[in-house]
Amino acid sequence: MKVKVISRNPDDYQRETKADLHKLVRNYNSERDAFQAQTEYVRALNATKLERVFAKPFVASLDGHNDGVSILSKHPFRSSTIFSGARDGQIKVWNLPRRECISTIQTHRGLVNGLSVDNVDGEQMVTVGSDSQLKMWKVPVTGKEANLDEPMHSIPLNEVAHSISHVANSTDFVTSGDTVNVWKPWRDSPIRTYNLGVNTIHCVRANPIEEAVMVGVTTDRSIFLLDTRQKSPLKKVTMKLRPNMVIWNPMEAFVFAVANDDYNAYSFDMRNLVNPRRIHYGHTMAVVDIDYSPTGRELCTGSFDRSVRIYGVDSATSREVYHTKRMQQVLSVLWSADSKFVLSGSNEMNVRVWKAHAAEKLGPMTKREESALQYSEKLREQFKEHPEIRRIQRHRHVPGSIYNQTKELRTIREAKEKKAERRIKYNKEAVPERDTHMVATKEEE
Amino acid sequence: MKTEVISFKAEDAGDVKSVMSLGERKHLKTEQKPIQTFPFKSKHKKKEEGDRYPKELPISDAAVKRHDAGIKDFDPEQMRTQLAKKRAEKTKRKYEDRVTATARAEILNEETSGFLETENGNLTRNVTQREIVESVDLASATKHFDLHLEQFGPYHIDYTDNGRHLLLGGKRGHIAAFDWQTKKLHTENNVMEAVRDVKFLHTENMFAVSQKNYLYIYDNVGTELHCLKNFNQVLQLEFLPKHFLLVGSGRNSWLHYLDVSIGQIVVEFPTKQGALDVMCQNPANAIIHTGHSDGTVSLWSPSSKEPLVRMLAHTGVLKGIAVDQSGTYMATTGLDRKCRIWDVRMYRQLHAYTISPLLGRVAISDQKVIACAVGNTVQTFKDMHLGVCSEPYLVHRCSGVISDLKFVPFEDVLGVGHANGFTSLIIPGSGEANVDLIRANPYETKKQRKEREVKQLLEKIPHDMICLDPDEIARVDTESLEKAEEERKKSLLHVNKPAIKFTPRHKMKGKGSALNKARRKEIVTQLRRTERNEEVKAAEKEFFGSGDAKRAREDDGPKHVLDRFKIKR
Repeated sequence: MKVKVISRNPDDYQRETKADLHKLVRNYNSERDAFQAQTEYVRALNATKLERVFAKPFVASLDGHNDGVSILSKHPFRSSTIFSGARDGQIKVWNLPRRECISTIQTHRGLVNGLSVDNVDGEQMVTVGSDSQLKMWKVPVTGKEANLDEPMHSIPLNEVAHSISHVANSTDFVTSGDTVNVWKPWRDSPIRTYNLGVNTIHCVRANPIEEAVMVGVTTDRSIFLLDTRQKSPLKKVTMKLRPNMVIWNPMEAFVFAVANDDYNAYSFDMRNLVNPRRIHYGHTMAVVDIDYSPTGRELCTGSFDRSVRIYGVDSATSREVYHTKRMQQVLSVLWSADSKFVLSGSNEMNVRVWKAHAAEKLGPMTKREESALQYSEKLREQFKEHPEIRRIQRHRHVPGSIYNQTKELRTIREAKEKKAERRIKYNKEAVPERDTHMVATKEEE
Repeated sequence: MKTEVISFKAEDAGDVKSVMSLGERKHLKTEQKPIQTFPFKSKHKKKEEGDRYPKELPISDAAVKRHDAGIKDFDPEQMRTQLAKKRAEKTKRKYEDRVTATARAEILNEETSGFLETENGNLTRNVTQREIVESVDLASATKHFDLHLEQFGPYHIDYTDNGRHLLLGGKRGHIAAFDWQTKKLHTENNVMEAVRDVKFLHTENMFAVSQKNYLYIYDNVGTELHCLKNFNQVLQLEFLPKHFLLVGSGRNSWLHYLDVSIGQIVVEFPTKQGALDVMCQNPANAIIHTGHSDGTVSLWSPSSKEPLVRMLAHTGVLKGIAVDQSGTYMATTGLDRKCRIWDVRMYRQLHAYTISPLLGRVAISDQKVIACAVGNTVQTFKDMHLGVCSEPYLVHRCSGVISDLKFVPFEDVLGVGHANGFTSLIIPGSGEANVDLIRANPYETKKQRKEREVKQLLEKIPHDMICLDPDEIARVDTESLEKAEEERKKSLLHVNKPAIKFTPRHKMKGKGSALNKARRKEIVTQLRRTERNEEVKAAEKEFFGSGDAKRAREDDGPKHVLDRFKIKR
């Protein structure tokens, strides 16, 4: 008779000393765990709940301005340097990681309308103000340099310039006011001037890649594309309500986003301006500023409804909404160069720093912590369409004003949709909602 | 300064060549690396021919098949775009690599399962426990033991999930919990009333005892923690570890589900099937199987007060029921002398074996060895689920009538509770040899147990997720999608019936009566209505396909005698 019985040596399964790690013996031929899917669902649910628990997006408040912060701008090369401009003409240069103001410059009498840093060596800063001046400054590094308060160069303009933007890879810049002007530094007159009609051009942005292309918005609610190699603008389309701000996507430089007065933000493809490529809904008052993340995959918007929202470039709804009790109308937003933070400047004179991902843990992590977070993120991604998880993931607490206004807007939108649906049903002409935001459906040449 | 002298031992030094001339060195240089010319000779191939140790061990197809969860059927060619196809191919390759890697990892399993072989045509059923004990190692020999507890029997028993601890509950009030391998007693007590069943909860530190009237929960030192009066006269207990549910089946036909993590009864309902004295759980989907005196088996989940499935298993009273670890096979025993093996996934009988009219409890081990209680003997069977079993594998006669049978997880041991105590039997080849310490750890330390408890609680599956197919949650919910699509189609097609307006021409006085006028109106309206209905029907037919075809198909099927009673359309 031959007999063998399972007889294990406990030493193969137990650690030798207390200082050792526990041995982890696996059975590589075991049956699949029958409850694997359900367990993973429960884990995903827990991970989603924890993500909401740890969602504490507010990082810091940079205070010191004496008026509403209407401009936020970043340095093209130094990711730690941030510029903020207030309505009293004061500009502050901040060191973001240390949360301290490097330097304060009184640039203009009255509002400072625009600020831009050159894209060659990042040492010249040009500002325009409502006092019809264009001033060139040295960019402070430590704040202890001499003569920071004095502009390097100053030009009186014939008009009030409303915005300024540096051309890609160049020290040239464009300003916009009644006309669009292209400037070379140190010259007292523009090298090129475009007259686009009687309306004020309140924003112009040079393309971050193609030097000759720029986009702008005018007070007659239109968006125009300009090629400096040509005499007249390339294209011009008109929206139903006024576009407030425009910004190029830093990665896909043929796409730009527009902040609009009709509570929406829009992404446009410059090759087809007939309709917006994507409409970003969610705000309940005029959207005044917009910025892309440096990755070009997300954008943040600031609105008069006292909130900041973050959208994926291809999503219609926001993935995040930031607000605090004391934050008033948001006048400017900025996505930091390391793409980890979002800054908002608001009417009550503060600049706020938010995390771009609300539940993200800042600072170094252990390997195990990192892999655990990656695992839970993957699980959340896998089960995101399950109703319970979806509900928790999407739920955001918003102030009463936004909540009620959203509800009202939803009712209006649903009524419109229903109407369109009924019109389709009875073979009447109906325009889909996404095609109702532009005035001229045909591009003007 | 002192210089250190390093001396070589004789075996450290290799062959030393004599000094070479310059010419020889040059020769050596050219020899060193011959320039390869196209086509390159594969070094790898050469190695394979003569190498006794190939780089990768060949894996058997069976092993690959065992680990393949369906990636073989995934066809990237079905993707619509080139990009999607490329991506799918990449994914497929990744999964295939994983399958081969896991299949290859099988050789890392160190333990081998037990076996029993006899010589000269002797039958294994004639091998006694004493013979086995004499021929195995000392540690294994201690796994066979007998506890003589004549005053308190018959005994109900239970093991923890890691197979380390044993709980005994005697009919006459004796309860004892101990580590059966080291024989270290945790607690022993007499509750001074009838004990119907005992069950460990998620750790060995807590166990439930169903007593004369109520259910009690004790801890590892025998302190009474809870008394649950809702669990009235419970005959059988089960514990669902993933859900933290303690299930009790009552003498009054009630099923109770207690969530032990929050101490609340989550569901209880009457099954209306008489006293539930035969019950087991399906470890693969946490469904409760109950056996009834009319020979049926019912499958229960807490989300439904009606049985999910009812099967007629035996023509007589059902005596025992057990489901294997993978949730594939169910074994039932009944008074009709039969032990039947079922495929629980299809609710179909696979095999039936006639054994004895005294058949009682039944148990299935990890390796699908089936143990049946026949009066006071235990008969174990191998390969019963494959239908190739004609002889019992091992037989043991206990000193009393058997009341409970449980195989020990990860051991070749069968625990038997009987009228005169408890017997632990060695059944070689019944247990899973390789332990996965992530799932169950027989060598768990106190700290590990505490950590497991926390993890287990965090991953507690809600009781309302118990269903026949636990993988349902990971599948696309096509059913509701189809329903929504149907709704959408219907709403698209829906047209408000326009009112038919027809005013008969006014005729001068005396030319036509009011009655005629009304009749004319009726006729025209009717005509137009029919026309419109025809149009709608045609459109519907185009949209949904004709319903007649389906009806015709039904009619074409083979006729049944009872068809004549069907309501004709």
